Amino acid sequence: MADREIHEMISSFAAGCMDRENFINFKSYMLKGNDLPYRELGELQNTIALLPVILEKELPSEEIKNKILSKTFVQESPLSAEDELPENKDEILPEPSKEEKIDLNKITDEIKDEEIAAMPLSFTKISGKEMEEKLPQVPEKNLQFFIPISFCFFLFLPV
Amino acid sequence: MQETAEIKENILFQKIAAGDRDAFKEIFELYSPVIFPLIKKIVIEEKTAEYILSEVFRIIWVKAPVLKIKNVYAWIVTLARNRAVDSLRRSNSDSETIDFYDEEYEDFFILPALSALIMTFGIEYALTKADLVKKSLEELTEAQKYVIHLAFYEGLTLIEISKKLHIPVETVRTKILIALQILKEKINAPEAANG
Repeated sequence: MADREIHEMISSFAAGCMDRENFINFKSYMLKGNDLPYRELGELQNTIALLPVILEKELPSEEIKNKILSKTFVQESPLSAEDELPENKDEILPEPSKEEKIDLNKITDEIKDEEIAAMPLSFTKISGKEMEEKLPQVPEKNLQFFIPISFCFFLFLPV
Repeated sequence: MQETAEIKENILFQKIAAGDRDAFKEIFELYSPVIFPLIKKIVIEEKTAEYILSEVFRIIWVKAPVLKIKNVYAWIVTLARNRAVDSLRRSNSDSETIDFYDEEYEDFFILPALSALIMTFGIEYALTKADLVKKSLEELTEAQKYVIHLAFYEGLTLIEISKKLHIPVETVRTKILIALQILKEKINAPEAANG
């Protein structure tokens, strides 16, 4: 069985809540085919993907459907993000959800009160920083600056 | 679970790869009733939801055929969720911190990276699990449900959830782990599968 931090990482990855840097590191690590509990990860990804089945089903109108189908069949290049946002940004800010109205203090207290001993898995603790160090860093693309600078240097060498 | 080759969606995806528009329409009919409410729950605004839905199907049309997708159901749902959350995060961020949305960005941050060992099933099977998923969610504590909601539907990261709830990041991480383990065990319990 893998360590606690690995389980925490794959849970966060499956839930889609990793912070940007950890996401980049984790996904790069995964794409290289490095060792991970892939069966466990797949089970968690399937679990998360099942959450929307409880939402009330809604088939888009025929108008939307036809618009999407005709748009899809002619479109080949991806759209830019600029195309996506309406001019008035405020228009797409979400309304507070029902869950937002939950008393946050109550939730926080509950979290603090819950006993770690009641956890279904027994693992050792690890800090966020340690987790970051555990995964490889993505190399920065700085070679593009190095090559032109080197070339300029050779231009000034005495013949 | 079914064999990959027996699942309707996998057959449809093979047809889409060959440019079959009817197969694509069938995927739309099968999946839009599930992913449209999901997108609307995330982005709220109707017009934005319609746009995101069109984006999801554009990605399916353009990219899905060239990818080897084992669980089409999990892939489409995760894709819809990722695309909607990305839109939500963009609308909540200032323009200086937003990544440019191009193909490279889409491939890395939007396309789902599912485990190679993921079990496969189709949407018909997934819909039979609705009552069980609902019941399993009800058995979580309010705090566990809330962190899952914040992560999955509101697209908050661990740090953002930590700040919102005034609790350490490690606690949030643990909450997510425990909540998902409980859900996984309850949804996949043998008696649940039989019943």
